[in-house]
Amino acid sequence: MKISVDKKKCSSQQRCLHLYPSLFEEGEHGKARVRIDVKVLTEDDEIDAQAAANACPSGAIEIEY
Amino acid sequence: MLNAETSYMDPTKVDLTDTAIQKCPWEAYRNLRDEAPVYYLAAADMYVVSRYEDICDIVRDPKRFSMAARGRGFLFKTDEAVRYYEDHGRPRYTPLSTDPPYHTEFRSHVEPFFTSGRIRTWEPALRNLIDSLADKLDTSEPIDFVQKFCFPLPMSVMTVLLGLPLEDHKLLKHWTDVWVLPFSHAMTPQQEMYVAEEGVAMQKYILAALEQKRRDPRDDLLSLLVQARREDGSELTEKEMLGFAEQAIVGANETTQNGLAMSMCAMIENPGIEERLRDEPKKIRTFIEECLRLHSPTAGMYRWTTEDVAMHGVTIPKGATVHLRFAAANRDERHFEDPDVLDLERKKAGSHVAFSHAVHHCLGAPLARLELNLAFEILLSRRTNFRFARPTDNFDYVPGLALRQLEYLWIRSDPRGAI
Repeated sequence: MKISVDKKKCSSQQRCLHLYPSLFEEGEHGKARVRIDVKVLTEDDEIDAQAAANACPSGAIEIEY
Repeated sequence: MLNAETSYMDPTKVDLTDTAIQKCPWEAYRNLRDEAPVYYLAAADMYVVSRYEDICDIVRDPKRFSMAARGRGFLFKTDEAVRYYEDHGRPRYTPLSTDPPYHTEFRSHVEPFFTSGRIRTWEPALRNLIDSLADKLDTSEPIDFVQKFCFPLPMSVMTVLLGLPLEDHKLLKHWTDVWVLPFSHAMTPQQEMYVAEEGVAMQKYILAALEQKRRDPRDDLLSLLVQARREDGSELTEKEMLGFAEQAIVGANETTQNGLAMSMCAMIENPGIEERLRDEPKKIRTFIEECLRLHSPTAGMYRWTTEDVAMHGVTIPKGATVHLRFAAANRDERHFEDPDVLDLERKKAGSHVAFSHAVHHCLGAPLARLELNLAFEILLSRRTNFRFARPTDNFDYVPGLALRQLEYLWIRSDPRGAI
């Protein structure tokens, strides 16, 4: 599974990085990005990533299954 | 392709208010998804949307699909009940029934309390509560899992998080059970008055508790409400604090209760799952996500259109009630492969819409997930061989459109050797 944040869609509300700081961090202009140190997702991470994508108000978190 | 006129508009085809369908709705949902993805349910005067992608699109479009545009009369048919709230308490209100940008600003004050990290700090308290309730399963006799475990747990947890005395959880449970009655859309005028009277009693209790927190703030949710400050330094209004507290109490109750009961049911119904979860406790997380997906404790929520919207050949008129049927979307084969199967290897398990998505994604989701996961971790460590104590075709569900709720679940289990 791969996760990414679509900067164009991101509305900088930062729900993802507050909810799951182990996966997301603040990037440029207050937009969220996947943490650089996140390399391989554990099974727990995968569920957290989906939960973050669900919670994103603008649907900016993309998941490749 | 069926004729749009008959398949989308025929109110006799699928009536979600029919208790027989509420008992086993899966075939009806498939029917809706395939043949009438936007369906006018005449019995409740609302448009039912049942496909996964459609629901995801709608919840990200609060301008056209609004929470705030709900009309007076949706909950109470008589003016007396509404007036009772206004004359003796405060008008019934929840911040859930608002749209961005106001909703975004308000939610930012309470969101920090519900992050996964912050919720984790409550884990020891949750473990204690679950452990003491799990004691009730320490018997070879059949027990009603719903009454003994699922009813008391969520409200005990929320009582502790709010910073209220634990013994008050029964009082809060009573009030919240009454609070949700209007969602049955089948109340008599007398019942409406009862809801209003109990609702005002609950408001008075919360207002007194807020006042107490103002004098003596602690590390809890009510204290957070009285201490929150807007950018200009002002406090949240009384209406907001009261509305949010009501919403937190009500939102935590039946949803988690149903999630617990349906997960137990699913574990028993699927041979081998119990052993697998005990051997591989890491799989409990996927198990819980699958149970949330398959049984969607909140079967559906509502939006109101701010303009005419055309979808799948149906024009939903401006001002209409739209019912987002999460329970149907969570078994949509367009998104989930073999959707009716509980699959512990399912990659997309966490992408369900049981907590909705986007703007109004359930604030308490991290709490609900932690409660459900800990409950099963603890129950599986203490008991084994969970089984039904009554024939399974005897299940009764509480009638209702928005929630799917087991009335009881009689089970037996055995102690786990010497532990």
